Amino acid sequence: MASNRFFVLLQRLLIALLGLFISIEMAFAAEVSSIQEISFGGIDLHPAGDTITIAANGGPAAPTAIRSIVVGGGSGKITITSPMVEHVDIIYPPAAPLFHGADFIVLDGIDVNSQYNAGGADTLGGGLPLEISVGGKITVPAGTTSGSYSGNLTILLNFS
Amino acid sequence: MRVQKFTCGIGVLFFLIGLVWGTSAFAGALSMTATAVITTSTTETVTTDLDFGSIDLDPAGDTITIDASGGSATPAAGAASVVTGGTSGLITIVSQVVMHVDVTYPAADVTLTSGANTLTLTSANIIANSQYDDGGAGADTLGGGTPLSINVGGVIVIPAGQANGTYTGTINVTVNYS
Repeated sequence: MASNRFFVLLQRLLIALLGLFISIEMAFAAEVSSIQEISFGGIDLHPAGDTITIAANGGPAAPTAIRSIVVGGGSGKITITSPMVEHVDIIYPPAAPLFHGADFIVLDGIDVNSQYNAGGADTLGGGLPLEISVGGKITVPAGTTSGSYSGNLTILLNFS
Repeated sequence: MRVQKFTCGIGVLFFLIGLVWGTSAFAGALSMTATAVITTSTTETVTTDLDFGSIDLDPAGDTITIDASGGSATPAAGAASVVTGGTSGLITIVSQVVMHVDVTYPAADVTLTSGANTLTLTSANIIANSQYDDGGAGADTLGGGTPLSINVGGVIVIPAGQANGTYTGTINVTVNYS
């Protein structure tokens, strides 16, 4: 009799743990399905230097310069899919260095030039993609060494 | 019977805990690459040196002027010297976009030397006889790879009895873009 009660108890505990597992899985079902890099394109720099901006706070955007020629490039993109609607807050880094050997330029203004920087966004649910455009600006001083500059920015996604 | 109710309660409790835990904040970090390719196609080239030519000097001395304030020019003698050859200096700027340019000529006089002998190109005369000094309106580059010419002139005053020889010196010019 005591043995039966033990097995019933064990069975209920296992069911409860399964419930716990399923509920966690359901809540964290959102996934980042793709990440597209942010590219400032090819910049034919004005000799006095320039600031190149990708203003993607309203969606995908191309780089714009004050006085240099910019060819190509575009905002970055994070794609999140989720079977259910979830809220996500996005925390952008204040700045990130882009290196070319020992030389570097600074990418900043990421927050104000990217989407959902205030208040976050809701995923669309049903497996539909939520696209988040990421921009920023680089200040390129006069005399900056020519070359290909690259770096990484770490973006935090807080689901709730 | 009491045990079954108890275990059922535990199941519900765990499920609710799971639900609360599952719906609380969950953070993840991702790394995005950023790139920029920087080139500088704008060039400044000294295409032609400033050259006062070969001067057969008037015995009383002379003043040789290259007035390039309006464009390319050749040397002109103030007195009876005979000048052969020579031309204003030429700086060429090639850019893809139109940009404003001002030129800063030397603030100090420039000395031309031939061994121990010297002649002087005054700063004031370089500025007065050259183009697009930063004290004036400057110029705009033409863009599209079309060269902008900046002509450089000056004045040398050669006193009577100046030693013969080849006199040379360096004029440092700064091109300012805005």
